Amino acid sequence: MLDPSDDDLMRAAGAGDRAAFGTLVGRHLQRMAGLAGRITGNRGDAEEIVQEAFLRAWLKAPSWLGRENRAGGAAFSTWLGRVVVNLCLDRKRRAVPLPLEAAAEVVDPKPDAFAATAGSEVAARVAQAMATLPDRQRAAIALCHYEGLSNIEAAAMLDVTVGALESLLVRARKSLRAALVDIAPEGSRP
Amino acid sequence: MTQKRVAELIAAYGAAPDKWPEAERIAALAVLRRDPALQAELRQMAALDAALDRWPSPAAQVDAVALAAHVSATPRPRVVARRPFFRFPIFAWPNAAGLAAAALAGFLVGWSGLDSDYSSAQLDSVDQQIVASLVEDATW
Repeated sequence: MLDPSDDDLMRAAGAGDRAAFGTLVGRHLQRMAGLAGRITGNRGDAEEIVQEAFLRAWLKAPSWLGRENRAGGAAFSTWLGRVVVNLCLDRKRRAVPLPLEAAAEVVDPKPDAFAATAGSEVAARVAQAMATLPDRQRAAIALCHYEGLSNIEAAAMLDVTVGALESLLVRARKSLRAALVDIAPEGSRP
Repeated sequence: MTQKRVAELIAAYGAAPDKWPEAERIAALAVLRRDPALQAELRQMAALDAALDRWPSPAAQVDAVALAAHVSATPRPRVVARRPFFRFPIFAWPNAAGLAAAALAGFLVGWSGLDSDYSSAQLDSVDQQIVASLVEDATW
């Protein structure tokens, strides 16, 4: 028996089928959590974002039409990815800088993600270089390099053209190369 | 496929051909095989890719079953059929039609000059009265 499509599961969830929604969550959680983690660089933020994204899916389900029922309609995975990306970018935009008085209390200015997870200096350097990228460039790298999405899927999630996505990727990689040039093996340095 | 496009693919998508757009991959690899400069560019980008891959994912640790149970327990707002923001009452149609007809008639009267004839005739009459009264004053 064929597995139900995401659209089938969304329609069932829209009718109140909580088990169908559970299947949908199980299918997409890992990728969305990875995406949110790479873009925010912060596990706590990523957890909140993933929960918010699936809540939006649950609320959207009763009116879900699905790709096959509307011209140009998005696949569920693309729709959900776009929700996650937008929530990540919104959260980054809304991040409130610490007041000057609090500056003395800051012990480690690095993102907590790599402080918690990085086991090596290289990982820490990469995390720091990623954190300094503009938000949309970081999202483009997260989508294409880390999540392995096609250029069409990634562009749809970022709501840009494929050309604009490539431009974001080129600029991001140029900055990352400049930041990490000393990490590259001798033979590969420019 | 041009050398320039292959260089763009490497610059954007990195050194792993499986991350390049599928439609361009085979042609790009063919160009790459016979171009040492592009191969050098590919090696440099491979070093960056290797460095990027050493960053472990700060992925959220969320339990799928618990998340689904929690989220799907959220009540959905009741969907209320939307009423139009402004509903034009049916009894207003005759009024609107009458208003439009009156406006049109006013425009036609003004445009055709019917009212100007009436005014000039009236003015002639006033002029005659003034002249008569002047004559009367002069003779008095």
